Amino acid sequence: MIREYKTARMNFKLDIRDRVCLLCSDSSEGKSFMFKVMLSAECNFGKYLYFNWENYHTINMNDDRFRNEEFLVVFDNADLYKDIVSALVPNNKCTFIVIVKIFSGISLGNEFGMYKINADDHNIEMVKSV
Amino acid sequence: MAIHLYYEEEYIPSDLKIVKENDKYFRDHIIFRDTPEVRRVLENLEQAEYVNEYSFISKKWRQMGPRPIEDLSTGCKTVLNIILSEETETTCFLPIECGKLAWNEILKLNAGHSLIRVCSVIVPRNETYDIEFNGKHFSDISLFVLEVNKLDKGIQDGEDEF
Repeated sequence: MIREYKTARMNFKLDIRDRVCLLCSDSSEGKSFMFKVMLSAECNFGKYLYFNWENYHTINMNDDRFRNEEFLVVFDNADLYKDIVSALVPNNKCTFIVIVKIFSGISLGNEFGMYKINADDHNIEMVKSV
Repeated sequence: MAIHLYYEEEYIPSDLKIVKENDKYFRDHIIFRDTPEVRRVLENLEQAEYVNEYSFISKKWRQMGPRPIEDLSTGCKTVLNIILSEETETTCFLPIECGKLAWNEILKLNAGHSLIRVCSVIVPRNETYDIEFNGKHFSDISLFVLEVNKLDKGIQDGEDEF
């Protein structure tokens, strides 16, 4: 699945090839920036949920949207709530993007792929790395 | 003054406040000031420049114009918390969301409290550091790395490695 979003100044692209995408990368590569832009009001991005340090406390483990294959759910700052992510990701059907700094201590099941960010002056894209 | 580093959370002195959510602390407590140290961190971690108390500009994506400081990476905010907090001597900022680059910026500081992070040390070897760790002061980064490795291997002072 490829999802793209363009603004006047930047292009964003997600090349998603797994139900669970693990994004482990260093600071300031544009990860949070990209997913926040996609969440913005001008973005008609469809069935999309974004959780980060600000709202992860509001995650409802029984939310039906996690069981809906059409939803894309992003867990940013997931180092802060690895227990919640580990409980949700292996047992649901939507597509997850999990952004962490350190992978240890998190359980994503068997069907995840490793992803990375490629960026240049006008593009940020998430692509499969392994 | 020195940057005080602890091997694990259990070694943090009980009188220190612990901050895990560095984005939240940055939003609620930090006044983003223009200092040489702040400019260095912005340059090294974000390839960015200070604009004013509320914004920065990315050199990579200059066409985006000035951006709000909430858009700084969490790793960068963690380092800035240690530098700019008025509570820096009484607070330990956990580097839970620091990548390699951000944690190595912490090694260059000369005040505050944080934890050891499992990642490569990539700071220059020929500079002088101001690190307190495991009851000792380190100005040589190589000796600091040796001390961390000793603890990783469970070796006590006075024992040989073999």
